[in-house]
Amino acid sequence: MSARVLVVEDEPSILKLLTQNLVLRGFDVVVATDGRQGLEQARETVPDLIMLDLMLPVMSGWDVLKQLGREGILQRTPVIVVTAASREEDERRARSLGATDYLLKPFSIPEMLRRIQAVLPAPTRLR
Amino acid sequence: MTVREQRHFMVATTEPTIAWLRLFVVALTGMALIAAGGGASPVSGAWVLILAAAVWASLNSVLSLYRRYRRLLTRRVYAISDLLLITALVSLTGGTASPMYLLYALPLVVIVLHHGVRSGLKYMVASTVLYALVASIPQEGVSPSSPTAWLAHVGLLWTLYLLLGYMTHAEEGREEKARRRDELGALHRAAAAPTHTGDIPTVIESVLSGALGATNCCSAAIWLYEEEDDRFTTCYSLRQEERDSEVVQQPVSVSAGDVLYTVLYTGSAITVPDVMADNRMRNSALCADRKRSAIIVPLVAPGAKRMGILSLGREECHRATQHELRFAGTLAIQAAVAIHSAFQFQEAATIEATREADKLRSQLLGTVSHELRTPIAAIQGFASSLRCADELEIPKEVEDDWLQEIESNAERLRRLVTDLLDLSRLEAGALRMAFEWQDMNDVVEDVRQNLEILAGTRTLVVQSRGTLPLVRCDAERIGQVLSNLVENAAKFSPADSNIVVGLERYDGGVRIGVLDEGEGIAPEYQDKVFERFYQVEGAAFRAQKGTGLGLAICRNIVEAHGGRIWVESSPQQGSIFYLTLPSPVPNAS
Repeated sequence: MSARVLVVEDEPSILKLLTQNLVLRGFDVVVATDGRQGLEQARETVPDLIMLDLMLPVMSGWDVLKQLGREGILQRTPVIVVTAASREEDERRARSLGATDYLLKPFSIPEMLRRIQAVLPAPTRLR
Repeated sequence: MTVREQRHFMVATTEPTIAWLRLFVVALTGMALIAAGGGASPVSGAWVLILAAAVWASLNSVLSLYRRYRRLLTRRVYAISDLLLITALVSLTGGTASPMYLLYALPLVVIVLHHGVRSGLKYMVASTVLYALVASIPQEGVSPSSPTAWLAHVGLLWTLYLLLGYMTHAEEGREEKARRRDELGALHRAAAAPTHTGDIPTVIESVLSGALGATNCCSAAIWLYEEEDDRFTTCYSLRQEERDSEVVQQPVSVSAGDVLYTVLYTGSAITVPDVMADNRMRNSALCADRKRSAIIVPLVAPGAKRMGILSLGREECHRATQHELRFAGTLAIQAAVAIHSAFQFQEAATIEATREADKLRSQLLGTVSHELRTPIAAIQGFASSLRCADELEIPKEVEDDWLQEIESNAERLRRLVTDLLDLSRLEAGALRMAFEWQDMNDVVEDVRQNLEILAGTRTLVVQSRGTLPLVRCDAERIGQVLSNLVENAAKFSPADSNIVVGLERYDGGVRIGVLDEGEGIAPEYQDKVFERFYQVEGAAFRAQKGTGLGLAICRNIVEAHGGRIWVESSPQQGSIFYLTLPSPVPNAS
């Protein structure tokens, strides 16, 4: 059984980067290009992991994170924030809102994979 | 002659002793000449000269003596001399039988109307006593005066006094009431001033105009004091006849010995009944206008902070009453508090503005960092994906796509850096424009090919209406603006639509419009699109190629030309971006 990953990202290049790499490694990938879409997908597709950008159109990543926490989705699904917001207080705030990990852009693919493996629940881990 | 000139004249010419001496010398010389001349008196030119000099010297002496002792000539002295003169006249013309007693009524009317009922009473008692004296002295050649005539005359005068007294009293009561109301109004205005505005001149103006409205003063002024430098900085003044105009504000320099400092340091008010006769006022900066008497009150804000002084001046000599002093003191307290809060308000606004600027700067820094990190993330991500691809089998086309992505993101990064540099140099004014007289048709023609490439599948139409005046512009930069606008238009409009570049004469210069048939911009964003990195909220997908700086650069370039750029649009109706280029001296070389 492959893990399902929801990628919420509005930058086409980064979206392609994440999606193709994850698909090549056997993940089941669901994408959303704005905050509201992301939230809907999180409710409907029940992903094993959410990769969330913070600067999103329509609804910001911060609001998505808050709403996920309110709806209890954060308790069963880990969230990796993938963002270019480099200030320490942003990371602190994201973690206090319930983000499991904070992946700062730019990052390398092996680094990203390591982080994903670390947060995925054991039975769904690949390889 | 103004007060200031008079004062100088007085100081420069004579001390009173010298005046006496001169008078004495003139008299002595005159007597000597008369004695020497004896009986023979040939009227020669020398005598005329001597006479003229004597008259001139005596006049001078008398004038300066008058100035010196004018203070002694109070209204009381005038009244007493009037009384004595009238009494003498009455007794000489026949005592109680003479109708001259009616003359007593003249000073009475003046005194009651000008100086009040109480002074009138004193005058009446004195005149009654004097008239009684006249009546009691038997007159020669006249039948002994009857006490009934005397009684009737005195009764008439007293009736007149009572009548006048009643009238003025009622009038005074009304005036008093009106005055109280004005005073209360003035205090209220001073207290309420800083709640309406934080602007210091406005606050001071409402204090001063309130003060003038509530008193008989001809001028009111506030001198602001700077505690740090220990000096008066500014004088705000207002005159009665210009009460509705703006307060006059001027920088001042006050000498160290000035009475202003005395009032400020002692913290207690002073009253000056006669400016010209008061040594404290000598050479004071306060004497610059034609005031004759003054009340000078310190302005002390909470925390014993010295704010300055308030001066209320009158054109005539006047000894301030206890009530006037108390009013001036209360007004000064209100004024000090009001000015103090206005200063604090300004200070707070400055701090707020600085904080806001700091916040904006750090926000901009955050945005720039974010914008730079995103393409770098793509480049690093794809490069690292390619490198660790050994473990996976990556299709060839995916690999090519990734390489393509690396290239396009590197290009995006390059554009971003160029734009950032351009913008920062434009904003700092460091980017020199190469202004030359240009025909805008040529400028557009030069970049037309480039514009067509940018328009892609959309049809580019260039329309020029009428003949265009020459404008001074940097053709390359304006070309850059047009490229940016056309690229934007292409980005936000559907394939196969039209993009129209229109040129027309406008207000002596040229107006260029770039029209598209795209999604349009809602009114609330039409100004904001020219801000750095501004993205219209709700735009479904991020514009991939843009740096978010194009329109900001356009605005800076157009403004450097003295022109204006704006957008007219409504959602789903397309947009027109307009820019104007003024022609400062049309058709000049």
